[in-house]
Formats: sequence, C-alpha cells, structure tokens
Amino acid sequence: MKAFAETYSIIKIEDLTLIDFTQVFQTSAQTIRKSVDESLFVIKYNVEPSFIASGEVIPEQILTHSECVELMQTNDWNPEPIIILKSAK
Amino acid sequence: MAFIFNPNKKKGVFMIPSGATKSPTPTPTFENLYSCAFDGVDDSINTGASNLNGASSFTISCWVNSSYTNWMNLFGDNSVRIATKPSITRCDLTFNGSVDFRSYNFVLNVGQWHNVVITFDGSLVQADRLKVYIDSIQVTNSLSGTSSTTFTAISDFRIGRSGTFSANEWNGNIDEFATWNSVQDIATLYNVGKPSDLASLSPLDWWRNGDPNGQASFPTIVNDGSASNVGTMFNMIAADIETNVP
Repeated sequence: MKAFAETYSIIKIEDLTLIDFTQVFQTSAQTIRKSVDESLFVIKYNVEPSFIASGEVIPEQILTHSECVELMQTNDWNPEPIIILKSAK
Repeated sequence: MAFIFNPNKKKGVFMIPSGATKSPTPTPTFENLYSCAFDGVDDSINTGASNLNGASSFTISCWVNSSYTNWMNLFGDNSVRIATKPSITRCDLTFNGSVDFRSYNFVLNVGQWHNVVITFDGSLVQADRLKVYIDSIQVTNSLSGTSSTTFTAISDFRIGRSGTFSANEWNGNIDEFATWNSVQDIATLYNVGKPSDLASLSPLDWWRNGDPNGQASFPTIVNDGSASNVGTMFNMIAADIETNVP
C-alpha cells in the first residue's frame, strides 16, 4: 500500500514564486499540476513547510490524499482532451 | 588427485584437476523486487522523447495495479495514450492523436496485478493494426482501428500520465515497463502471470521502476533496454519505490 503524502494543499498561482520546492514533494515549478484555468496548483508534504507555517502562503484548501484525488476529477482540474473519435465498426 | 600439465600454457600453469568439475560462471538470477507507486494527482515518470517515433510496428508491455476505479491514464505522449476506467471495464487507446481503439471488456481488478500489452503492426489491415491484451487475453475493439501505418510521437513519453496532458494521472503501481519496435509474443511477456527477464528479447526500453537498487534509485529510473534514456520521477519521493510487485 502506497504511503501517500499526508497533506495536499491547493495554492493560488500568484504564490508560486514563494514555494520552496525543497520542502514539498513536487519536483519544480515546471512539474506542478495546475487547475484548468491555471489559477491554482497543488503541493504535497508530510511536514508543514515554513512558508505555510509563517503565513507567507495561505492555502486555498488543505486536503487528504483521497480528497485531492476526487478534486482532480472535477471539471476545474480535469479538462476534456481534444481528440478525434473514429467511427465504430 | 592428479593434475594435468598443459604444455601450451605458460610454465607452471595447471589445468583443472582431473575428475573435477569446473565451476560454471554464475548467471545473475532475475529478481523483481520493486515497483513505482503513483498517487493519481501529479506523480509521473518522464522518459523523454519516445524511442518508438517512426515505428511501423511496436509492442508496449507493463504490469499495473490500480487503486482507483475512475478514469486514469496509464502512459503516453501526446500522440499515443491509454486511458482506462476500471469501474466500467473501459479502455480507450489514442493513436496518432485519435481514439482508434475502444474496449468495454478491459478488466482491471483493483489491488491486483495485471500485464497490459499493446501491439501495433502497420503492415496489417486497419482493423488488426492495434491490439490490446490483459494477462495475455486479447480485448475486443469496438472501433474501426487505425488508418496509420507508422507511429509519430509528440512530446515526452510518460509513465503514469499522458504526455503534457495533465489529467487523470495513474493511481496505483506500475512495474517492468518495456517497449520494442516489433511485435512480441504475448504469452512470453505474460509468462504465466509473472514478470520475467526480458534481456533475451532485446527490448528497446526497459524501465524496471526501482530494480535493482530500490529507493536508492530515486529519482532516476534506469533504462535496461538498448536505448539510453532514463526515466525521471516527477513530483515523487524515494518512498514511491515500493516492494509491491507482481
């Protein structure tokens, strides 16, 4: 059974430059998952990062893993792919 | 015990004792101890540009264990990708940008390991070019197949996600991910339900997702195939290399 990050936080995109990626599981600003309108992104961690503890960054939402997975299924986070569907047999 | 002197060798060098058996060179035993776990949010392994670009035939084989029943992308770039929704046993295979394969009998049981194999053979008739197998059993295609005779890759190829398409990331484990630019024997890949040593099949790519070094591998997934591009674990940690294996 996978040991998921204990906490997933939803952060406003304007706070992206305030994120210290050594304190979260995300690799870099280039690999974060953004909402469809790119106004929000996800970070995850087991130990509360100092930029949140200090109030420098205030999460929009703080979620468990399962809550975050469900959020990612919503239209705000999950765009419909642009694909061409071939005709059935 | 007598020793036999070999006059062709340098003075003082003896052959093995008469009657003794020479110890064979140890053959490394194949072990599969690790897989990678993906969280269904943003975990993926980026393997760089696809080595299948331009192929007129290929095989992609991997072992998967899902933790979720809604839509998930197993792998892909922006040209080929496989998406599945286990709750309705649905699978959509996108090829060269269009959904050319759709199955309603793609059965992935949550918490169980399965071998998923996709083959493409551009020399066959359209309906037969793309094939999908679970545990060596071919699943049916309700669409008309691909009109393409070669595969064109677009963007980096990722495991646990579809290229740059950020949605429906894989939720569960993936292991022993291999590709060939030819069609392989399905039963050999399935190996009666157990991953086997693929070296003799000369895969193009073979990302073993943690073997042999376990969490010390993080964040690099070496390529044991003939290609050199490694996988890089994005948004993951060393603990995502787990001992949960097929």
